[in-house]
Amino acid sequence: MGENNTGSILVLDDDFDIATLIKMALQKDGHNVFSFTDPLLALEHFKINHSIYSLVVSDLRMPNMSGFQFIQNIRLVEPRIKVLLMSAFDVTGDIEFSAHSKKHEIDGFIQKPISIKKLNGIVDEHMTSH
Amino acid sequence: MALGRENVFQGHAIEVSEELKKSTFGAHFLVIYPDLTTLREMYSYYVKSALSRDKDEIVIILPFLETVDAVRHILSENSANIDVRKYEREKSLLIMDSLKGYFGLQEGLMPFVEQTVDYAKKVGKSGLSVLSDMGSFFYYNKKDGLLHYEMELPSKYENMNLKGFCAYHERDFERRFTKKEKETLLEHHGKTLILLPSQSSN
Repeated sequence: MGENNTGSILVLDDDFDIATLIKMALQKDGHNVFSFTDPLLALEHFKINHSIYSLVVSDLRMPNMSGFQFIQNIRLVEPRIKVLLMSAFDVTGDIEFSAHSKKHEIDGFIQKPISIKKLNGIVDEHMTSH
Repeated sequence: MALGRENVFQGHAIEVSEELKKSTFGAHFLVIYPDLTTLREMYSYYVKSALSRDKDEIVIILPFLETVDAVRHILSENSANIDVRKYEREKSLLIMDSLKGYFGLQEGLMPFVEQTVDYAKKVGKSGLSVLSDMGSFFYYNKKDGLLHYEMELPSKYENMNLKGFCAYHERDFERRFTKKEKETLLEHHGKTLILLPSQSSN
């Protein structure tokens, strides 16, 4: 993991297939991507390698640590890292979600399922504004 | 495969579902699952049996890590092949997001469950099975609330045609509870069923 990886993306989803699919899609779009299915492992990895990352994309509902709890821990290590949350659940009008998103300064939300084109568009937008 | 303690059972999805099928009304069991694939496999077997003419139960499922539509899809698929629409229409099958079930109902989940037990009796059903994912409590950082909620429930639902199965993801159960909390939960439930990963799990 050298300097070439600067600007990498960390993807976290407890569903292995989804984590892999997103990783492959973003890699095809030219990004360096590391994917995880376990929030604790992802966090340990991030603590050691945070300098290479520009963006974190995390699922919302996961065992052991929710997306918000994960982001909270990530931000303790790297307060300025950009974060996107994603979920298959409809969060429209969810007051708790809005409050937590504001509190944790979430940069964007990805509603699953999402097309690869749209995913790349959202990620590219946040990578260029880095 | 029985472990050291008589009230702990460990097995694959089909074996755990068989154990649940054998349970009688009043059961309040703990189910620990290693991943969603395995849980899906287990509940597919169980729900199919509970809804069958033999059992003729009402079933409530409260998922947390998957959407209501995902559960519908799983139950409609090959192994279960349940006519989900039909059972939902006749109110024999209710699928509700666990977050909404535990935190979105005005009076809470238990009054709703009790009403459904009464409804089951009224319409001639044998009783009610509830399979709920307790992960929603952790989502809102309510571990203490979860322990309190569990301990408020009886170890056995006396005189109620109700079977309650509290499902915990293994990572939540192992990493979020202290040793003492785990022991308290194991002791409080009538039986603990530990699911082994299915072969199709990653």
